[in-house]
Amino acid sequence: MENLNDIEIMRLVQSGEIHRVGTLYERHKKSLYAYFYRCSNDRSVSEDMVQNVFMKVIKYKDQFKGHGQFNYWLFRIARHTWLDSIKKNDPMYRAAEINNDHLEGSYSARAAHMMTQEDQKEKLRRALDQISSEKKDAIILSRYHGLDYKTIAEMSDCTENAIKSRVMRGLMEIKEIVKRN
Amino acid sequence: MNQKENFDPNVETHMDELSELLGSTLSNKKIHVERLQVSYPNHKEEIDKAFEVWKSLEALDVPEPSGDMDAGFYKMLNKAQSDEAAISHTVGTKKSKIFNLLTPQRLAVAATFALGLAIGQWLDFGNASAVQPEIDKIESSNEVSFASYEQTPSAYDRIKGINKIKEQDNPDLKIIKALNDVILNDPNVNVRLTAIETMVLFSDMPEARTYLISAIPYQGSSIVQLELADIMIMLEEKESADEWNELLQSDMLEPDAKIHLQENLKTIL
Repeated sequence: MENLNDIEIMRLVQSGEIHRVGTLYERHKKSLYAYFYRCSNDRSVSEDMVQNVFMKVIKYKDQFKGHGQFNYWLFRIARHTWLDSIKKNDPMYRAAEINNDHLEGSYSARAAHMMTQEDQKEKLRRALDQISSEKKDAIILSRYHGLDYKTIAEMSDCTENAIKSRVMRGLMEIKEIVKRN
Repeated sequence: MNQKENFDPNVETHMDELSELLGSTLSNKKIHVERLQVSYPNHKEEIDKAFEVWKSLEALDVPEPSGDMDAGFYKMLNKAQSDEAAISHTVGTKKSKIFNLLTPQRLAVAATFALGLAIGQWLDFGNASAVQPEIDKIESSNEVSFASYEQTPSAYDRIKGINKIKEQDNPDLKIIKALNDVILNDPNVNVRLTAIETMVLFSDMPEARTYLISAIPYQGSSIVQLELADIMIMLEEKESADEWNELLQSDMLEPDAKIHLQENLKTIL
């Protein structure tokens, strides 16, 4: 079974072998979880989101045509899942924001102390949270998941140039936010 | 597309090139960034800042997910499997209702009638060549493993293979054993249910009954457990009491299924 690639496994899922989704989950859960964690900064939200993605994989299994990598299809679902939750002001997302508020408070309390590596990380994390979801998404998919701009552009229904721009402008904004704090 | 999102090529070529560079798979990005700074000395600082942020993002680590994620996923997957199986089980239930009306004796009569009909057709139309190859295939030693997952990766094909056995009146013991292997080992619930339904057709053979009974403690799927319970009640198979007790004491049962089984199996336990 380990020899089958993701697309072959999806074919089996489409033929009714739903349990094969377990193999896909084991292969991609960490990467998806990391994506959601970087988007939400919340462990519990990220775990739920990973489950939501695989529910959609099962629900929409017949829509997978096998063109391109399975990984891209999966991240397309993940991306929509995340952005939908923001649009709908999902309670899970609100929970994540509450946690971020908590982070802000704890950050302020420590601000007087010498900047440590952990403080720097927290500043960066918060800065990443403050840029637009589109810029954040482009940076995360490119920086952490190795997706090229063309693929991200296809997922995002925009041009490659727009993704390049989102990444660069996002980086500059992060720099400004970190500097301000 | 939002035009404002794009760089102005006249004034932001350096950003465009830097972005291209950062999004590439080049391993020695630092060297290329330095070259870019040489090409655009007026934007050296800007390029440097953007690259610093890009590098610093690497430090943002992600904690390990908790065990709840796996538990939640597999619970969801189990439910999805059950839902999928329930669709085919609806068809299976209709068959079960027919089975309930058929005692082993009636089944034997029906099988004899079917055999007679098949022979009649063969004699009348001389069409044996169309039927016999299928039976030969099923009875050949290679075909006995028709339903093994390794050889037939598609569940649909495995079900198709098993359904062919239903056409037989007096299957070889090898076939009964192969069905038992499927019931015990096939990862697909639908395939296992089909194998069980087929085995029931041959329940007048002691081996078939024994295999059905011995499969009880090994079934982790509620649907399969309930199907086997229905069959055992239908066959009034009191010999299966030990196996049921073993299953009822194991942790393989969903709470609802356990209550249901305890209630339904009263007549044979």
